[in-house]
Amino acid sequence: MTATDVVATPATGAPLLQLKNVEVAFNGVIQVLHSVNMEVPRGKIVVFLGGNGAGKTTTLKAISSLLAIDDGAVTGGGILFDGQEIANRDPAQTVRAGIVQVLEGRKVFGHLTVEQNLRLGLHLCSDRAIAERERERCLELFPALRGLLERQAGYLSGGEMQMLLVSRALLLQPRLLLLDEPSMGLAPLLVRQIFGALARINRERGLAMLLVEQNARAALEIADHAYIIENGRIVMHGAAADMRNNEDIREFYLGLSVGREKKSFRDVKHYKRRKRWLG
Amino acid sequence: MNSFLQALASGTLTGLLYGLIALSFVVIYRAARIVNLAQGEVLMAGAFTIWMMTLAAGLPTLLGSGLALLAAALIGLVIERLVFRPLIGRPTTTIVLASVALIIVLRGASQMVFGPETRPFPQVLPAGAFKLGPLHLNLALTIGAVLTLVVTEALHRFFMNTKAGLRLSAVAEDHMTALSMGISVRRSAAIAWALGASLSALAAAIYLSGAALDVSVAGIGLRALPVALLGGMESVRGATLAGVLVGVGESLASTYLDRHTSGAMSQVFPFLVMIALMLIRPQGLFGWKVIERV
Ligand SMILES: Nc1ncnc2c1ncn2[C@@H]1O[C@H](COP(=O)(O)OP(=O)(O)OP(=O)(O)O)[C@@H](O)[C@H]1O
Ligand SMILES: [Mg+2]
Repeated sequence: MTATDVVATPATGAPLLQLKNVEVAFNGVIQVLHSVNMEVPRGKIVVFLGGNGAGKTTTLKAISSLLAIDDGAVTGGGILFDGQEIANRDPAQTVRAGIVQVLEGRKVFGHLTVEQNLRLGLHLCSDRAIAERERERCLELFPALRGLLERQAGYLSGGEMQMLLVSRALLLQPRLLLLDEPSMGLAPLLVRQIFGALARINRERGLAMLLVEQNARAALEIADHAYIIENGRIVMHGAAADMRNNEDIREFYLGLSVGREKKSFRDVKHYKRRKRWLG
Repeated sequence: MNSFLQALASGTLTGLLYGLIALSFVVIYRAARIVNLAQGEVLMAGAFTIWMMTLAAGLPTLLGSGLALLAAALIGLVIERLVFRPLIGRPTTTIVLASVALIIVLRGASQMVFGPETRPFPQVLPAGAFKLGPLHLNLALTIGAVLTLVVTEALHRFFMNTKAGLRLSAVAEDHMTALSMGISVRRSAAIAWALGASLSALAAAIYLSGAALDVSVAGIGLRALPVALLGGMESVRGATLAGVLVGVGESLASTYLDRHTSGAMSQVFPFLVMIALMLIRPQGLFGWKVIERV
């Protein structure tokens, strides 16, 4: 039995993950998150929306203790996982505790093969039988990977990379999966495939997820709850179904008008990215 | 014809020695993203350690040299901990300057401890030459060459097939991604430094066996740097192969061109290769090129 097989019944009924008034600053001065409150219940998918630079990635990295490498830190509030304070720890500890993040930007190990990437997902697993079974489970979930095992990961297509990344993260046997824009730059058909796979993983394994997305409509389809962040503050949250149906919210907070959402969003995003690089 | 074959053969043997030193650059570069310009000085420190363990302490040569390889690993760990770990995440210029400072510190320290005089180095590998057909080969270098080939293959498999090695490869690709998977970047850097320093000491043992030791041996580090660049800073097999190419080129230059260039050609050959390479193929023959995807 592994952690992913059982949805542990909480003694307290407390949510799996709880952010309480979380503040994050970079270099000790640039404050990016202001009193962020958020919850991820056990076994649920929570989608996390917001414009460019709103603080989505920063929030995920705060949870997985990946801020230190960029000179950032949680400077206030608390992050509770299963009731345990986990802010500003060693990221390896966080992974062992069961929080695994899929970073934004398709970070496969491009010079290694698909097989080697998968084996790295199993690097904490010392039981060969479990390792083999988990690997087999992932290949059942994404059969396309089976024929690509010896391929160099850097030359996979975008969709294949995303499958590899989700598999690699699953092999670390998380209890909470953090995903940062898994659909970025993918064709609509692939977006549906990826979200379909995530929904299936959630259903079959009861794995809780916190999903950052620009692709609001597709994400709201599979989510239970949604949070919207703006300038480092949570400005709205609620049931995903309500968000989906509320046209005002779509217009005002997501900047979507029905029909051309994906295009406009990506344009804005790429423009900002380029500006960030140049500046 | 014979002199040509002889030049090829001795070039290959010297080249494999360069390859071994280049490997020490590669191993450290992969995990820590540091081109340690002081790698020659690390080799020198390894050489003095071997001398201390054998001739000074009176241990049997092979036992003493073996212990010295372990001690060299320790020196690597100390350098990583004291000099480079505090610099993780700093700009490349800072790190390069730190490695220049390390050159000066290590040379100064050895000068202080061991003095300027030349001392004998133990005969770690058997002395002499042997005949193979028309060729005369240096026995120590030949044994060293075989060792280098074995080490290359072992390292390659380590990085590609073992858990610990794959972790180091992951760190070589991207620190943030490695961290996100629970891989310790610090531990990887430490392992890489221990391994790199140990490889340097092994190279010292082959290079100096039965010869003389003083601070100037460190100079071989800079001669091996172009080799590491040629192979591609990330490539284990590339380093060894590039060693052979440079060694043979140098040896041919020495046989055929040196008399017209007052002996300069073989000296500058590796650096000519380096400059040409920077212009044509900056990632080296087998190095990782940035995979561009749209
Ligand atoms: N290392 C850093 N140092 C200083 N400021 C940073 C750093 N990283 C991010 N920021 C700032 O924090 C804010 C939030 O960034 P973050 O990456 O969390 O946004 P995001 O919501 O993920 O945006 P995107 O949709 O573009 O990915 C931005 O204003 C950004 O400039
Ligand atoms: Mg982001």
